[in-house]
Amino acid sequence: MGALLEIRDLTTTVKGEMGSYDVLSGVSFSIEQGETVGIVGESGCGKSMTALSVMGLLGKNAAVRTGQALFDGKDLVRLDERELDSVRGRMIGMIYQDALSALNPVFTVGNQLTETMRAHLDVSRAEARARATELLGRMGLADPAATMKKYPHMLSGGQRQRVMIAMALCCSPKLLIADEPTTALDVTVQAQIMRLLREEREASGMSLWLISHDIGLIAQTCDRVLVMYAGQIIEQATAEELFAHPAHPYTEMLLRSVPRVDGAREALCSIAGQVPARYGEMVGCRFAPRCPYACQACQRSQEMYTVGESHAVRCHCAAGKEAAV
Amino acid sequence: MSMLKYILKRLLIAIPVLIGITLLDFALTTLAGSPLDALVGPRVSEDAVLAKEIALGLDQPFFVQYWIWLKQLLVGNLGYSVKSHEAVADMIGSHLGPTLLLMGVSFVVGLLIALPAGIFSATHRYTRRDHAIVTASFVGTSIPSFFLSLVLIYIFTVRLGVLPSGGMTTLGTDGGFLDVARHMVMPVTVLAVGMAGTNIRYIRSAVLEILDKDYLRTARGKGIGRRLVINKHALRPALVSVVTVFGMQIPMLFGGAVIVEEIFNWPGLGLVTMSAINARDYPVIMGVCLLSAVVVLLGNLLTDILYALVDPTIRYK
Repeated sequence: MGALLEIRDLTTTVKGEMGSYDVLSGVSFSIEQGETVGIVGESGCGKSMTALSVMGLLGKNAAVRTGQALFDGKDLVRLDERELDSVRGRMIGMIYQDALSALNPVFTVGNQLTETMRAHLDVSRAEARARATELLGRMGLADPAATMKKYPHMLSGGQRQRVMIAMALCCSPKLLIADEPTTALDVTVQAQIMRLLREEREASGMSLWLISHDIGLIAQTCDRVLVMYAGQIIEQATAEELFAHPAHPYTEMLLRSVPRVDGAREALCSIAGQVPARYGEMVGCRFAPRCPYACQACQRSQEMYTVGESHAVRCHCAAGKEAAV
Repeated sequence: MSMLKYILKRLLIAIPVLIGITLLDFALTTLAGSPLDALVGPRVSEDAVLAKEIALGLDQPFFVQYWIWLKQLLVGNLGYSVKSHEAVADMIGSHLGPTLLLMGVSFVVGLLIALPAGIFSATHRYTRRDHAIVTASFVGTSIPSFFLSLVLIYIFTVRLGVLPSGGMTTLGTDGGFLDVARHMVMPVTVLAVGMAGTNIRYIRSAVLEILDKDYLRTARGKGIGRRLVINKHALRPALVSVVTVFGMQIPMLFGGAVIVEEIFNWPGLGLVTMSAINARDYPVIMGVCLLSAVVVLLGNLLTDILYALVDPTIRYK
């Protein structure tokens, strides 16, 4: 059986005031049926852009230039809006970072939940309401019937995120894209929401694509991890492998910037500098300006080197080290 | 707090405002001169004027006069026209209907033009069709109503002879729906064009603002189709900001109708007002002034209620 979602060489361009530039450069990866894949990276490195490109939700000033996003044999990038609508909401559900701004303030929770079901499934109004209420209960909302009648501003942050998840799951999609689902929440609520996502994934067997800048969150949840930097995937491996043997200097530094509860007390590291602007025009390794190991060879453009079973890295240096060992 | 309580509270607040308006209305008309001045002449003795003054209560102090007037107002007595000796309340009553008809239809027609045009314009921003609509709306706003009225009369009555130039019904007939409709085409067009011109731009900018919102992306991501995304998820929040404008247009329409009614000889309040002003018919002018004030108040009240209906995030305080 092939992958559920296979992204090949996806390049997305944004039209800015000073001409257009690439925000994604040749992103390729796949998500298997039932798999949990995480994308991690700093803000502004193209994580959300990847998801929005796949969903056809890019704004007017951005467009996919090349590449494919094969889902169930259909290339989502080539579909028109109408064809996309049979996939979005039905086969792929998406939850967004800030539930308050992502929910329409003038419609009730029930209204926004049932409209998706009414659009995709052959259900009556009453049936949709019944299912939505049940779903809200499953999401851990105390009084689902009352929540149905509420407006988003009447709910707490955690409740709103639960409603968002219910909205994404209401048509039992095959893939759930969670774009920073817990960033706007406090820590205890974060843990509850992540547990809910894991439970739902296990119960339904759907695939989960988790996007976060929080490498700890990704570590707890994902089977496989992609590290993204400046519009490129720079490392991919299984979660265990990646956290045990990070190959790319960026991944290594990301991991060292997170405090550990167990193990040795190391000095926390911070990565100096920031993601370069207009990184699409860079030649050579895009991390080189911030990399402590940068050398002459980093001026060449970097390809993905295989450094182990299902472990690949976009760094000649790391590849050389592995080969030497 | 429930909706009903909110409306009740708004109504209670309107009462002191209304009292203030009656005071101003009365004071202004009193300042304009005593009605007895019109009586004075070579064949009228001073004693007779004095007797009349006492009979009419004009010798009383201002506030006593006001109090008497207010009491009469409460029982529905707005006084009598100096010119025709008709009761002012009856005059207003019989002319209110045609004005409301003209205003209502113009308002609805204006909206029916402005809503789709504004939404289309916003969703096709910076295209040639958007520019065309914005230009047309600009022309609609800027063209003076009396000028447009005359142009229409020239084309459709003088040149083509297909529409009547004025009145509400054809003389000698008892009207009927089609006849009234034919008489309404031109005045409604004039009023609706002006309204639509303004509203297209309000609606366009309101929808444009919503189009950038995160929740619109959510709606698109739900795969519910473009029609629902625009006509439900974008339009409804956009209406929140536009409703206020609609409410303010009701009094504007009331005022604008005076000119249009005059030109098209529409038997509405505008016509009554104009002839009362020309004849210095104070009781009628006072009555119409008071009515206009009430319309403004009602317009505001309606706006507040509509606002509360379309925007669930506002609290009824």
